[in-house]
Amino acid sequence: MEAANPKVFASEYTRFWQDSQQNLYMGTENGVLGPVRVKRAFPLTAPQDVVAIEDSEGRFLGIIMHYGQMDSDSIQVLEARLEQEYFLPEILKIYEIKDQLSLLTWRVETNRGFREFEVRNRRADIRWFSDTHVVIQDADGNKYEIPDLSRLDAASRQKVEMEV
Amino acid sequence: MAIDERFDIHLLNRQGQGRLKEEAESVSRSILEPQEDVLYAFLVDMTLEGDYRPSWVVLTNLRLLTLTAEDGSLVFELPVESLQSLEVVHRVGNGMIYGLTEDARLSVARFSRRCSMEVEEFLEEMEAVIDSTGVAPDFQRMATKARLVQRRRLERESNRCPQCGRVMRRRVCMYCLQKRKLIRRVFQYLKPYRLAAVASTLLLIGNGALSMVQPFLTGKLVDEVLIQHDLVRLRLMVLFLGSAHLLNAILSGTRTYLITWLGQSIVRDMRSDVFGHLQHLPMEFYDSVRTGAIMSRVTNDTQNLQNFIVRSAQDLLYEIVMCIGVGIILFRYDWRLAAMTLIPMPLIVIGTRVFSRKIQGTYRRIWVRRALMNSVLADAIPGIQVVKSFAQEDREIGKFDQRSDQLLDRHLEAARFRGVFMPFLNFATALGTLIVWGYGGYLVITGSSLTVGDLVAFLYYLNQFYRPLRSLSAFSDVVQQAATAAERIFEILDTPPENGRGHRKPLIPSEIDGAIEFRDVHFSYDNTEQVLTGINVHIRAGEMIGLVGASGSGKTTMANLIPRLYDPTAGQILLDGHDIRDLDLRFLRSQIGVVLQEPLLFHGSIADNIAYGVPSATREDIIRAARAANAHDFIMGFADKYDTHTGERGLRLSGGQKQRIAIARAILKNPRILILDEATSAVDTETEKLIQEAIERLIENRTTLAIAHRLSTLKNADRILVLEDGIIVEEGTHEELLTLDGVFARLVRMQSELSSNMVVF
Repeated sequence: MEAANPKVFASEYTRFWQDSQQNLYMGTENGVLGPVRVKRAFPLTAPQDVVAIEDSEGRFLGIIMHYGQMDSDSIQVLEARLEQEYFLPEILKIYEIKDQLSLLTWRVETNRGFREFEVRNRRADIRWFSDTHVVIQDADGNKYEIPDLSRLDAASRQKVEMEV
Repeated sequence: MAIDERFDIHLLNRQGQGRLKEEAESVSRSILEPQEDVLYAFLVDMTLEGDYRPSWVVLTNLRLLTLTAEDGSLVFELPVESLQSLEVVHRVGNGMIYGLTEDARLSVARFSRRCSMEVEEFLEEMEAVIDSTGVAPDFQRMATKARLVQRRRLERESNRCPQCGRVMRRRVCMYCLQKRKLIRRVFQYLKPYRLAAVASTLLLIGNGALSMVQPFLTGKLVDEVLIQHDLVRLRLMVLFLGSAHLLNAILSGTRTYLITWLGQSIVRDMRSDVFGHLQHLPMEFYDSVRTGAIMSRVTNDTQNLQNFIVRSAQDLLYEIVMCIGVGIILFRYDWRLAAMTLIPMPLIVIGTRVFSRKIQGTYRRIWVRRALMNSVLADAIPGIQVVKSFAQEDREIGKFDQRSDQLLDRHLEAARFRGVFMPFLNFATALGTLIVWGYGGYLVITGSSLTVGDLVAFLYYLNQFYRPLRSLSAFSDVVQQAATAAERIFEILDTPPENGRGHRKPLIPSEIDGAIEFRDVHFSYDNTEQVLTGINVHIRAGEMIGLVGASGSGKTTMANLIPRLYDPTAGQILLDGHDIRDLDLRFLRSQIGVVLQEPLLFHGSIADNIAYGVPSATREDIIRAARAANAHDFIMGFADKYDTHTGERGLRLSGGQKQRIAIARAILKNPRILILDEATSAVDTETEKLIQEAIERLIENRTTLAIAHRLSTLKNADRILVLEDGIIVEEGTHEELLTLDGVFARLVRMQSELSSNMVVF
């Protein structure tokens, strides 16, 4: 079992930066690793908790838990990377959910601006992680999140409840 | 032209370079230098920071630019002469175009996956422009690019309609498939039965006419018989009314039978069509749809459509006729009274419409909740062994109860709603009757033109007037429901079947040797993860090839490509020099036998299962095959021998027994090519020996592709291919690969260590 324990990089000793080639490097207690790739291990349920580190070939190097303890520059570099790797805008307001021939067209305001998208399959493409946390995948494979449905305005909430 | 943030960039992107360049020029005019010309331009739907705002990517003879589409402000620029190559990376929810120079990799533009295909195509064209104009002397075009684009283009065709760019549900665009056409197609099914349809409609009209006569006769009965005390006419009238009732009963009885016959015949035709078509749909279709959903289409949706074609359409006709007919009669009796009855009409019509809209939403929520509850069942019942062994019964019970409660809540919601609305509608209807009693009674008592009999008849007619009014108000929803069912059925019927993917007339060679060639084969299930990359193998006829590799390395995928369960995303597979896509699919598959790790047996006897591929096999053939598969002895040990029922999915047989039946099945089919997918992995050593023997008999003189975890079973293979991440990394005989001391040798060492450890245990 010992061998399966992942190497955990202590976030307080870890730094991230990138070079002009946009290669990402990671400074640890024992020296520099890189170029590395970073991926959230639980992108939907615990995005901040576990970040997996891989080498440029995709081989697993270890994980960082709760990266919030790193210096702010590193956090910025890391988060920009993570966000590119897994882009998940948050839905702030729902203007309309139209059900047409069992294709749902959503017109929403996200934290990244206005967006219109189509959802093909109510059941497969709309995942509920709790009664209020929902992640929606559109027909092209983009994902959108409503982290807390109860925080949306009443009209938006009602649209979700009616159509989903 | 100013482009606001809700502007449809895809529409503009589809309008061709001429238009795009023109737009880009006007947006970037203030930035362009005097000698600078736009060579190429397109739009993406994001900014570099990741906001959903459109941006222009513009190539000029001097620079590569990125501009915001709203105001044309410059976001990125790169002197084009320093550009060495372009790169696109697709990630979750977004992607990036990078420009590579001698010493940097720069982010040029970002886009959501909605743009992925467009970007691939635009970049390929833009690279060609850079190449041909020579603006970037060191520029290298992306390798294997053309192939990627080709693959993605195909992929897009399955997601978005090539005509309108809108999302399709599987390969059918419901926007381009017109509604009217849909309904017309539905009525096509009525065609073979048009005589019966006409007859039942005539019967329906007869019914209507007879219904309309009765109140009239009742009125006469009151006025001319009862009030006049005319006993002779009373007998006559009762007899007459009785005959009308009897005739009506006979007509409606006949009609009920006729309509049921008609309806069930249509459902049968539709079911057969749908099922028949399903059998020929490609595997991709089944990967994307749940079994339950498909079954529901074959049974429920066809039933819904039948209801519409037979019942609702006739009801519509009947009710229109009744509404108009009765309406005219009402006005002829007394126009003032008739006008009064129209007062509650808006209440009834609007009320019914609102009611049916709302109740449908409620019903849909009930449906969703029921499906959620059923999904717990579908997990927990087949998985009961796992549930029990992890002692999770209580959790499953809790989950089920929760969903069951939610379903109850939805049902109660519907009940509350009905509880409010139905009495309201009934009241609105009663209001009409009250008005007639009040005003009509006044007219009778004051001795105006209206008689008592007229009033009685009027009240009867009124009832016949309001009922159709209510059902007509809800009719648009019935049509909507039918259209949904029709759409779901035609979605299946319009999905192109497997053979439809070939271009030429399918080939049927007279003889097959069994030589297989993979020529630069690439494959991906979902367009993001590459499962096979550049597979090149030549398998001689009669050769036995072992396929080895970790799980997920692409072994089974490679095998599935041969019978065309899937087609390569790029490259070719040849059988005796013919591209297998040019061969008749039925012929191709008749040449291939498959034995899987967990063979699927169908409901039926053991004999039926052995003869599945060759239904015409004699009993002797079946026994011969079973003997060759070392299955005969255990079969004869069962009470019912070859007639033994296999039970659902062969549940009553052990893994090794099922395996040998599957081998017997393959032997009987006598294919030129054989695919063994881990055929011996799930059995004990004793059984393995028996199966191994059977397999050796089976593979004689056949081209064989054997996928194996137990590497010892591949000692006799002519050649072994080692796959890693979809690439063939080693190739050779067992001995050659051991000598090579690479991946294969390592796997063999690992397995022998594992088995020696097991001995120690």
